[in-house]
Amino acid sequence: MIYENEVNPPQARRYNHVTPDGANIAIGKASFPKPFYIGLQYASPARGHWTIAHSPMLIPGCHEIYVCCACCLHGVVLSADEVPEGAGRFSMVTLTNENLIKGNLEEMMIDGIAHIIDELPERPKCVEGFTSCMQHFLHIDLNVVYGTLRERYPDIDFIDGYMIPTLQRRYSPDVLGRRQLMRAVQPLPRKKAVNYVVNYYPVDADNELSVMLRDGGYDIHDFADCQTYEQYKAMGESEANIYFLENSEPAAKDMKRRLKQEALYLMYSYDYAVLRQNLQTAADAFGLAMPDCDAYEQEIEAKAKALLEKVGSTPIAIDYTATPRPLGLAKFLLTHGFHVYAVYLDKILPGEKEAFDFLQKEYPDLELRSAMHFKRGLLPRDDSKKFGKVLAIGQMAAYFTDTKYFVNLIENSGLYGYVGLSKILDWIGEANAAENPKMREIIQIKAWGCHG
Amino acid sequence: MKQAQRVLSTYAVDMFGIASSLYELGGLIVMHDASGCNSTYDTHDEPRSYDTQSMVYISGLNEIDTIQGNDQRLIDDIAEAAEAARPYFIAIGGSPMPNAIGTDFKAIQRLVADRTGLPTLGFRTDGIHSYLPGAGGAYVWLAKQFVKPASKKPELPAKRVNLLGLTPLDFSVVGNATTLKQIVTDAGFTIQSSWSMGDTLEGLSTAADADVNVVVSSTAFYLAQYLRDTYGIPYVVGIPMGEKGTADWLEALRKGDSSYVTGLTGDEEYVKAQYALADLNAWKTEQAYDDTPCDVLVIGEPVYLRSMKAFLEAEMGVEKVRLLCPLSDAPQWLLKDMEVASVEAVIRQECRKARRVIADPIYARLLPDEPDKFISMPHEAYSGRHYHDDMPIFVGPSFTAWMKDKLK
Repeated sequence: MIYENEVNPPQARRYNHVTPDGANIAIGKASFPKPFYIGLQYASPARGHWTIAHSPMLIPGCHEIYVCCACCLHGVVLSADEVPEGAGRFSMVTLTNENLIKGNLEEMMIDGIAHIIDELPERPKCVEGFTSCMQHFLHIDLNVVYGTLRERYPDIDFIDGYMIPTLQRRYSPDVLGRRQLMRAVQPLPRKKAVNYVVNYYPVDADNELSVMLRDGGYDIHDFADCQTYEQYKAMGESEANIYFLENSEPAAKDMKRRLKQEALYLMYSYDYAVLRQNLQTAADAFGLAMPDCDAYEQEIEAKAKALLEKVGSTPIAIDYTATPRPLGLAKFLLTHGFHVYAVYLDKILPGEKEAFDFLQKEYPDLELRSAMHFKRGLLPRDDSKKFGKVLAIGQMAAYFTDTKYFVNLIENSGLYGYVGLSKILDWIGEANAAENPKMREIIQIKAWGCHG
Repeated sequence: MKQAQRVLSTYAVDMFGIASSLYELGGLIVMHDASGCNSTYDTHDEPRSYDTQSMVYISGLNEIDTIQGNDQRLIDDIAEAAEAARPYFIAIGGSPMPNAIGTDFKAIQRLVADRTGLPTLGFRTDGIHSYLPGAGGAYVWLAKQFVKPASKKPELPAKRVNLLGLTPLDFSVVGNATTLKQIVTDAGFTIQSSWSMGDTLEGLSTAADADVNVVVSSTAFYLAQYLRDTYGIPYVVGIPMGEKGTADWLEALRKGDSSYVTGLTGDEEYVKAQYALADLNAWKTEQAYDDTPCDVLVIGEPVYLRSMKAFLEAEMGVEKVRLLCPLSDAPQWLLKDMEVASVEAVIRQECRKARRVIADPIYARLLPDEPDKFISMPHEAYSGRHYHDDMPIFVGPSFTAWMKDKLK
């Protein structure tokens, strides 16, 4: 049993003197793409989105081996442990100061990974090894490491994974991580198939794009929905990779280079024009028939109208972990009469430029709130008390506004297109109707719902 | 390959020890690192983070600043936060990258202190060692900065007690800290200060007026030695476990008996926490036990281990108890007569030799075919929040019934 006086000691200091300046800004005064100066960084205990420890578990049969210092390992091993059966798919080799001084980085990594493989109860089909900032700062030769391992274990696919947050010249850890997840996919004879890459949730099968593709005779290989290693490898037979997220672009382009598969960006959006254009792009690329977009739009309009009658003027807050298009979702809801008052984000993705410009002009009072500014952890989490009721879209928004009326949406949770938008409206309706009594438990678990 | 761990976890690191020991005291705590450490600490090692506001941050170290050795951004960012949030002090610890490039934390300490006018700690941690020397060094610094001169001399039998080394990393938030305080006050003692759950900086500043220090985890052994040398306060090491254990512990407190569960004289030489950080290789296998079987093997932090051994022998009637500490950077005075081992194969072998093993549940993965051998005692510093539901109150008389049931 958790003791309230121990997790929330009454004598602990309060910070009522801290103002929100710098951590909150009206969008009318904000800069694109970085509305905040982030110095010291706060980390929220609401951590529902996926991490580098979880995403490799989406490759069936993949065993993760992290070769890092203890501080890095402690986080990933415990994060992996929270996933059902996650501990059995995770091992590590600890880098010490002795290794750093001796410089035997390659030797200790080869020996460590080999030791673990030899001790595993079953031979893994795939091993993703992870190196950290320290090894790369000291110029580890990964060609030697993985070359030796591939020679010693020819039956195992090795992926070179990276946990190198200090070294982000080209890619963020998330972007690089998504690219590497596809590296064990190799060319196969072509079939009439396409891939969805690299999402962390299976794409909802009902969406109009998937229906179009299936009606056109295409098989869909969805990275996040692979149930066997063979299904994962079968992604090598596809004609093209469809991606919805900017962060997946290097993965799609890498596959174009390696596998000669086309890369098609059909971006996440809540804007009818973009949704229509996405479908047209897919129709042109694959020779598909367009669906009845007017009908979809009419259905959504009717649903939004009915939802507004229920939600009324309830204040709504959205966060960037719920959707890669928090401003796009804010725009849709605001233009349909909903009262969106705050969006939690730290930077604005390129795909949000149009929504940012629109909101800056039409809704300049919409508040942008940094999730990692040092003040965020000191500012009161009392919107739900202040406003009576707050509806949060996303786990961070739920935490910061302290509301149990929340939509448990993470990176769109596989919802895509017109159908995805329609389902999000359903979810908003459900969240508005009743509190989620498990809010506190849910939002603290990293990669909630991850069952890779 | 000694550093390869197929199934085991790692302990919270030095930076997290600093943060955990200072969490409730109104200071600004900075982990000098790129990303991830703050999230790990908040998520897995700091059960207070959801409810209690605290200034624990990461610096966002980047590649160019690392290469150029540029500490100015760190100092500027700290100064900005200090101006806005008005902390009582500032503590800065480092991760592997700053350590590898030889970041001068003492210089940063002086620059930040000059700029902000606040007491500042620059602690060259490396993100590789455990929470023990991190918290240990932070406690001693805190005492040097804030403890006021004593208004009275320590007296025996003791009446005023400092509780030292009380953090969620070793006691979690499931009632152990509350029970510990209750036992002390019910026995007629006054809690002079509590380092550092449920107290304020002002409360800690009066620690020199105590009659006795009680070290409830090895994070505070350095502090106890410092307070002995500076204010002449004797220390007792141990946790009150079980009915007899609690009575014996209270008696040791009254007498200021340093030999209680440790055999120490109380005059042992003060060894700085920083020396533990100088050890380059924590992966030691100093086998202390032969290959004969034992009744119970206990795995964990040294003060807990010694207290558990006394409890098992005196109250549970267990004859042959062995202790295994995976934390080789614990205070060396406390590591005597126990095996210090971090290597997975060695720990597995010790578990095989034991009839029962009392340890964090992650250790049970070493012998998946013998799950009944293990008695689960989750350790927050090892498995984080994952096993909160299984954590017992191991402090106090009620532990006797709990353990009897487990040893059936």
